[in-house]
Amino acid sequence: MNCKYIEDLLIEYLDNNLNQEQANEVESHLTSCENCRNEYEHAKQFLHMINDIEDEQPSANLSMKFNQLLEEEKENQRQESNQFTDQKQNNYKFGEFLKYAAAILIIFGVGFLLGKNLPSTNDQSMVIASLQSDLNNMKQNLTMATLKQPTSSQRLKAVNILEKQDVADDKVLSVLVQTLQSDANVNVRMAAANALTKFAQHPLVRNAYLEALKNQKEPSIQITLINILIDIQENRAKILLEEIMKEDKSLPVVKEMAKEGIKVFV
Amino acid sequence: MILVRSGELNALSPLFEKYHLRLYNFFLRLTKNQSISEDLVQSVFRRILTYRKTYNEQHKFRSWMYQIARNVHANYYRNNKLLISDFSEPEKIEYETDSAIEEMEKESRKRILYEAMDGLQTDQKEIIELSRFQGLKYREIAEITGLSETAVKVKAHRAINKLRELYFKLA
Repeated sequence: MNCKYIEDLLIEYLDNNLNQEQANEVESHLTSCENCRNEYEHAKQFLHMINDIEDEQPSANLSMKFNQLLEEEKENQRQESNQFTDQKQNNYKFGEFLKYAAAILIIFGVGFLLGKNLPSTNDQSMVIASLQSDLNNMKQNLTMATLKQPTSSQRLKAVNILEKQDVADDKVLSVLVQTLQSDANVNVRMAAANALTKFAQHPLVRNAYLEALKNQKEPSIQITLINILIDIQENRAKILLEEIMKEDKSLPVVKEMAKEGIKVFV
Repeated sequence: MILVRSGELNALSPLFEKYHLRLYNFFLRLTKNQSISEDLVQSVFRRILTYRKTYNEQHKFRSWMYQIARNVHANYYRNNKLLISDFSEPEKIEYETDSAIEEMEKESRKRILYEAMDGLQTDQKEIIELSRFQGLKYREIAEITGLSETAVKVKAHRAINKLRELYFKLA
């Protein structure tokens, strides 16, 4: 057996990074070669010594400065968001909510770690996978629960979080659709409409847009909906647009948009 | 970190608690200077805040953080190439130990080790730091440094062997 080859493996052997076969090779070589055995003891001591090095403690300044930095950044954030009306209070409430979310995530994290340490390797990946999917579900559920919060900016945030998901199951879609149809705040409805564009191929979503155009009377959301319907080439919108044209209460701008839209759906 | 990205800045505090000691020692071993190391830790967290919107949850927070830490150190190193490091005796924490001699031996081993580390090239120091002191896996280091995992492994081996050689020369 080649000593150089074994030497190259020693550190990995000491770190328990070798597969069984390689580890056996190293072990059987070590019993027969004194040189390598010395080398092994040497390396072992050295690694042990390195691992034994204790961390230095920084001065209290460090934590203090960090907290300062954080406060400054929060102040910046507050100034940016002050343009929105009732943000400050909501930030606090949303923070409360996130604390619970974080607590749950931590519990799952601990579970995940425990799962990692289970001896049976076969079950391990199963456990991890199921924990991970639980975790994702949990995140989603928490976000959806936020949509039932009393203040509009919280709901707006929740919509934005849901929007970031690449794949949405029917549950998420139906929550967003429901928000689009019946949220009390026009901005939240608008955000939901925009969030849904990503899933516009879904029949549920297309129907929701049509339904919303039929029922909603705020000009801003009407315009958004007309634009989206044109974008996704939803021909069934034509009848609704004609109705908007006939409706006396419609704003001229909206009528104009509707006229353009009708032209597109010949 | 996802919470921080979404604007919940308080969520950064637990991350600071968890990592600042390790980062501080990371910089301390690279720069040999306590106040600079504190400043560099501060810079890392400032960058984390500034670039929080660019955080991508597909990577571990830890890897991202070390990437930032490496950049911060590289910047510092570039700007202060001529500066000689002045490693004053680190402020020692008072241990309630049963054996003072044991403590002293530990301290002296540490000093020799740090001295030995000075004999390494910067990239070797860094790889020792990440793989040994910060306890990262080769895969993670590969992600942080942009090298392949095999390259990291080879480099780590060379660095550790060199360090060992230097250490026993000094000891």
